[in-house]
Amino acid sequence: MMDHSRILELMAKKAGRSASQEELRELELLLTQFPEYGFFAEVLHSLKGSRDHFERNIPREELVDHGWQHLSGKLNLASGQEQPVSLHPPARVVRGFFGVPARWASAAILIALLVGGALYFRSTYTRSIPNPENKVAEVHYGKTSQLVLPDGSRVWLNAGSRLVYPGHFSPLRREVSLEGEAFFEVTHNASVPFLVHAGKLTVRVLGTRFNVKAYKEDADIETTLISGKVQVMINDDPDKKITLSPHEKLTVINPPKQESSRHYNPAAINELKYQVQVLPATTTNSFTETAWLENKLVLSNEDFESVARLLERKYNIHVYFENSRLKQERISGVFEKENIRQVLRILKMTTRFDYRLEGDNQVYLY
Amino acid sequence: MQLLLHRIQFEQDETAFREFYKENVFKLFQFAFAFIQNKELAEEIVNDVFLSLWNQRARISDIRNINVYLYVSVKNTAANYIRKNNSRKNIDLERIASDHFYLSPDPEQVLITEELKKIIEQSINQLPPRCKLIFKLVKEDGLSSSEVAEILEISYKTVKTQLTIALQKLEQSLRPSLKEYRFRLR
Repeated sequence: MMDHSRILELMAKKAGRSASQEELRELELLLTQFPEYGFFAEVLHSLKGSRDHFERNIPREELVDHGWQHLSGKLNLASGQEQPVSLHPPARVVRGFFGVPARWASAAILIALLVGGALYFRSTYTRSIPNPENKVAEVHYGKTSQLVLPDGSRVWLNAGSRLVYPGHFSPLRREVSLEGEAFFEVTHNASVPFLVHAGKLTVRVLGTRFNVKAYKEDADIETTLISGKVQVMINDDPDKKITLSPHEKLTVINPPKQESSRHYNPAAINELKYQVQVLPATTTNSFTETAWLENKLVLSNEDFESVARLLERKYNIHVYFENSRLKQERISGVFEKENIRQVLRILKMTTRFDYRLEGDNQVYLY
Repeated sequence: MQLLLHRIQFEQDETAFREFYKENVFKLFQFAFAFIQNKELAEEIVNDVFLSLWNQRARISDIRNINVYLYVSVKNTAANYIRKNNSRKNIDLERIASDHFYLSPDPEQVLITEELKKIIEQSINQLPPRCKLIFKLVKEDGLSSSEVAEILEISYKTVKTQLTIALQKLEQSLRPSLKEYRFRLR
């Protein structure tokens, strides 16, 4: 056997992700010359830690749950502490570490927070943990709402949506985070980009009008641009940037959340599918995507299941399919002033189904 | 991971934080245990790091490399503790605990006999502590050599050398069997 130290050195570099392209090619070549090292490489590649246990008899789960139990109790207490923070990891200085004085300090903070917290909750309408820096606007089912951001940008929120935004924007970027659907009219400021984080997407704009639809329960995330220019980034894949021109709509398939995100699978990113569509030309300049702004519900050949979700949000109802075959029925139509009974009656004219209403807001379809 | 961090920073989302915790706590716990050799203390140290991250969540996106940040925080917190409670001044990488790192070939990925599997496990277990720690951080935790160098405050060259040594030891223990496999390849 020849001197194998070069192969091992290259393998070590590859393992530490520090091999150059040339070195990777060299390694590949060497492996074809010495196939027995192919097996060694395979063994090396397959090595995994026994992540299920810590020391033979302590299951990982137990350890993790135990740790979280201890930590979670401290989160709320600490969240109001606006300590001057450094983003460097804790320096190696000696500090009170679980000593008695530290316990006293945390008791004092707890009292201050109980008082401060009560005031805070009265003054805002957030349900999340108090943080003086962020505000939350939430719209329940059956309603829409409008707000003006600190920079003067206007946001229309559709039913069942939630927008988190700071009380003051940083001078570097304007960032908000959205769950649900919103239409943005962003004030122009070329030097301070406006970013909307929505599910797997981040929409980056300089000043423009656009609609973002990212409900957790929906299969797709949509971004529709009315005027200006936006850039959409897919968070798991920062290199993928899609630029939209006016009257274009980007749809990204929002894959159902995997239970075991622990097993992060890079291949899954490539499966994230998206498409850019040009909106059909209209004379009135009103699009299906933004019809909700005028309180209209425009359905163009959508499946009944998605329509049910739209109705749930618009009318604050719950829709149940007793006949699941109905979910695939295609539905079109425009609704504006109709109440839910009228809507259902109209839908019945074109689609074969029946319904019954229970209580104020339960609709059963069969 | 990026998505979780977004939710933590911009939505104060405790559920996201919990998910982030569950994904990362075990490897950091193993890392802390290498220095501190006490389960309760290791947990306290790791939790302290997570708590401080939660308190600084408004600035998470300014952290250059969250992985490096977490490991360095754990190491520094452990070092502070040791310095305060022990005569030992600094962490000595040659004297850390490494028996709790198990690495083993995954039989689902590679066709291997039980006997060969044992040989490999044994050979990894016999690596010197520092070498084993570096090998574990790269192979199991998925860190790059330069990240490991930054975390352990050693040179990149040392990391590379230690990794090569680990591979050499492994290869030596496998060599008799490699010949056999070479034979089988024909």
